[in-house]
Amino acid sequence: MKVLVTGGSASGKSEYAENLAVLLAKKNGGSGGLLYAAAMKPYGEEAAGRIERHRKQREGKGFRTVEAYTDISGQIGKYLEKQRDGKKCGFPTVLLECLPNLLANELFDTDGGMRKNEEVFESLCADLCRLEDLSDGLIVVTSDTGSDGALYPPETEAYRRLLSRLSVWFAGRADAVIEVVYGVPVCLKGSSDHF
Amino acid sequence: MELYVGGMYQGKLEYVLSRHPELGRETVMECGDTDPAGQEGKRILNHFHLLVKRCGDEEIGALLREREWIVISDEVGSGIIPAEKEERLYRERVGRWLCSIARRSDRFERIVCGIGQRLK
Repeated sequence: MKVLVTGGSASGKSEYAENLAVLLAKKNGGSGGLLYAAAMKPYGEEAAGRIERHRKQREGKGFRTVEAYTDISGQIGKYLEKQRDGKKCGFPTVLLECLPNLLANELFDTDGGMRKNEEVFESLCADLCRLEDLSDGLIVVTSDTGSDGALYPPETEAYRRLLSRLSVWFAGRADAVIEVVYGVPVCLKGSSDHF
Repeated sequence: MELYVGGMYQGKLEYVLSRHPELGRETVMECGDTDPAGQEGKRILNHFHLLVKRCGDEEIGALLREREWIVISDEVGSGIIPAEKEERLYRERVGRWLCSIARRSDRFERIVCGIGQRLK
């Protein structure tokens, strides 16, 4: 089961995605557990505060957190190998929080340069495909960044064009797509009956 | 409580007034240019997002507890994260307030081109 969760900023999409991941993991039988793939870098006070708020919000829900700013499937793969240590074990339910951060990390160098857009798109698609293979239930959180009617510098426009392309691509593969509007889920694809 | 959201200029207020024929325009409080104090007789909070811009959380909370409001707000969170800290905080606060109001509302609709889509 693959699900894309979208919404504006502060729309309640993260909390909804967490609860959905818990539900899916329960349905999967839970042998592989619940993984939280955290892509947000703790840059500065605001990011640190946001990370802390998310951490508190998911406390007690049973997530194991893997910080993975780039090469997300590689990092999750390594983590799982270490956990299993040769033993057989089920696949985890994975919550990727979130695509906008992952893309920013992959697209922009630390010195502000931008990698080739097409390469980044291809490599992120491949990365997400590998993540699907590693998981039993994958929930990806993305964000709507295209509805403010403003035009930005070319790097920012490239970023949001890529983010939208990735979201559209994953929505095409997903079994369900949910938009969260101020805490209320609106099912855009599939049926919310199975969760 | 009731909540109506949508983009700007989508006919949200007209939609709400047509749904509530018992409420006249004199019951509308314009959040952009009215002080929240001394607004007896008002039932509709129009442009709620501007209230978030003008007032602190405590004042907003107190006003919302005063009576059964019908809240109308623009959606402001669907774009690139603003470069200015103040703007980022504003978007965040509007989102959090609308989540909280949606939770407490019996009716929650989104208006597009004057047409309501009931979410709750």
